[in-house]
Amino acid sequence: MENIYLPEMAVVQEIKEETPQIRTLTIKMAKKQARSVLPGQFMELTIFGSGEFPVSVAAVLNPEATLIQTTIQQVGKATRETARLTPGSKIGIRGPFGNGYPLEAMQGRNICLVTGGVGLAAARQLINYIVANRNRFGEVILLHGARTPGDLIYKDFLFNAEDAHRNNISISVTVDQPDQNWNQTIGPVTELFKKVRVEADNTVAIVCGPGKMMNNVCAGLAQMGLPDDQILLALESRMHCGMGVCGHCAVGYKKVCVDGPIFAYGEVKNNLEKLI
Amino acid sequence: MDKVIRKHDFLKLLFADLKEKYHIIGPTRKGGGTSTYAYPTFDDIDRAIDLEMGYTTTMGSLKKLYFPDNEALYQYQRVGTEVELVNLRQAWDKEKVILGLHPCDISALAVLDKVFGLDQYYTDKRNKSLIIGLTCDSACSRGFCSSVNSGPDAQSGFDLLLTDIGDGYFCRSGSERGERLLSLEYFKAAAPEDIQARAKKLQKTEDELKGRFSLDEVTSALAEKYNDSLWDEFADKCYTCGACNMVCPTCTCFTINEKAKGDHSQGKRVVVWDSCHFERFAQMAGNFNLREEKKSRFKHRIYDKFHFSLVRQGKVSCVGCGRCADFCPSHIDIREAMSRL
Ligand SMILES: Cc1cc2nc3c(=O)[nH]c(=O)nc-3n(C[C@H](O)[C@H](O)[C@H](O)COP(=O)(O)OP(=O)(O)OC[C@H]3O[C@@H](n4cnc5c(N)ncnc54)[C@H](O)[C@@H]3O)c2cc1C
Ligand code: SF4
Ligand code: SF4
Repeated sequence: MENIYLPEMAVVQEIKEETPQIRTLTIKMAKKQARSVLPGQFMELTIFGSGEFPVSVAAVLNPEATLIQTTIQQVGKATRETARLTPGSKIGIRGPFGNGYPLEAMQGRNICLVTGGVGLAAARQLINYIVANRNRFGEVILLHGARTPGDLIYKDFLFNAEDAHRNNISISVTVDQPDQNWNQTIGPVTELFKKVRVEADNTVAIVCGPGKMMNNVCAGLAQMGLPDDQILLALESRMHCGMGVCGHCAVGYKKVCVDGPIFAYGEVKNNLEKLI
Repeated sequence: MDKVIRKHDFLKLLFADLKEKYHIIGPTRKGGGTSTYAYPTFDDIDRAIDLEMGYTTTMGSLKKLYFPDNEALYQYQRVGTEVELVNLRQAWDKEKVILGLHPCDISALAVLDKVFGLDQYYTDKRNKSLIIGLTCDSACSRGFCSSVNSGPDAQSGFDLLLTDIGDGYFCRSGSERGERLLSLEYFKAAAPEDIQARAKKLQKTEDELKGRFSLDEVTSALAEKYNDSLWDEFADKCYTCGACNMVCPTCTCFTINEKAKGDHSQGKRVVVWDSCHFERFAQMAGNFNLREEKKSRFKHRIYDKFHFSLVRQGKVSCVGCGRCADFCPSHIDIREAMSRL
């Protein structure tokens, strides 16, 4: 009989220090995934001895989906323990879970990604997908914000002008608190709205970041005329099972783990209980 | 198929036959002795004499049998650089017969089936269960099954459904397994008087039920009144103790806990029941809590039972057993909320 809570064993193959608090793990799984891992889906990682937590799949590195990347911010009991992982460490993994982005509906549209902090990780696999299928999308812009320059993840992606040009993606970055070397925008990510023009009727916005940031961003996007169903949010409620059973991520009649984590802003806004 | 069985045959012959093949679970009185509190509850039954078929309600529901309040999922052990996993979940070795389950609790199993349907350990236990239900002899003091269409009669979810008609039980089958049981020689054909006696019994129970409300009115009022001041009043009385969740046959929220040795070399992951009334239940990053206010947590339980479940599954998930009102230290009674909506 299958024990749905039993994780598969996996090995940490490589670790990249993004910031002092955030690491990107390259994880190798023994078995080929039964399902393909869609952009926007997540996995449950187990750090044996500390706990299990949901994490977005930031990249899938091979067609068999046995090699994936996740970017983890150390906030609590289990995530902090990821600081002690070394290449070769054994961890547990379950998934993939969740709905993923509605790729069909996004085809042919302009894409405006707005991310904050480690929220960029949740959009990263989607960005990879867009790059690999670039001609299926219109204009693509990424607006990203972090607290300080030291909190920025994926710096070699964010500041690689050559790749951005080749992939035809426009990338703008802002920080709340600059250091002496910072010569780009200062302020919350909504500051960057002043610099871009978004074609309201043909753009899909992808929003991912802390709850408060998502609220402000949605308000800003609505002001620019974007309809609620063209704003897609990635939510990160606390959850334990990832499969719609445990009840923690239930908000109103939505369950973030199975109905989400990707929601149209309209669904979120019209929910009786507030989702963000 | 309808039949009748004499009580004497039920307790002697049927019980003995069932015991040969099944592990028997039924209503029985627990506590007493060192504890001052004695209460009917579902437990293993070895002797027919321990059955308390005339019980009105039990403290805990049957959910614990299928959804244990403390279930070890697996164990991990570090051996050098390797980690070994051992599955700790346990399947039943023997089929069980559940005797004397009331209609509200039979309906509750259908709610559990929807939640846990993807878990093979759960479905295996359900498939290994023979349900012999029992309609209530009299209404319980805080139940409202007739308002939520889960009693006093049951239409499905059982193999056999008994009704006490005096010197015997009226038996209605609800499955092929139930029908096969009814072909045993001590079940006799039901006479027209028996059918009448059953109907009379159920009518009596229905008449005794107090605080009936219209489910349609309540569910549409809920959709409108999410921000009503009524909820402040209820939340103000609530201690957020979670007792209602624990005794509820359809509350299924849980947490998976880590039980690790100090050096992390070995440990288990364990499912324990949780409560949406607890403050950290919907806690998220950045000091953000989906339901920080006590009121929104109180509403979440009520709405989950009567509104969200309706939108999601087309059916309310409260079965009207009244246990939450029986065990609330603040005497909060759902019926009062419903009648004031
Ligand atoms: C679908 C989904 C995708 C996610 N993707 C990523 C990702 O790509 N990278 C990443 O770093 N994090 C991600 N998270 C958040 C991550 O799961 C939490 O940070 C993690 O569960 C915290 O576990 P812990 O044991 O370290 O914290 P705990 O010790 O349990 O709690 C410590 C702190 O973290 C908060 N917390 C607990 N659970 C969550 C949660 N689910 N979300 C946010 N905060 C929480 C607590 O409120 C507390 O303040 C994602 C969450 C979800 C639901
Ligand atoms: S909410 Fe109360 S009355 Fe309804 S099923 Fe749960 S315990 Fe019974
Ligand atoms: S039992 Fe009563 S006091 Fe306790 S959490 Fe439930 S409603 Fe609140």
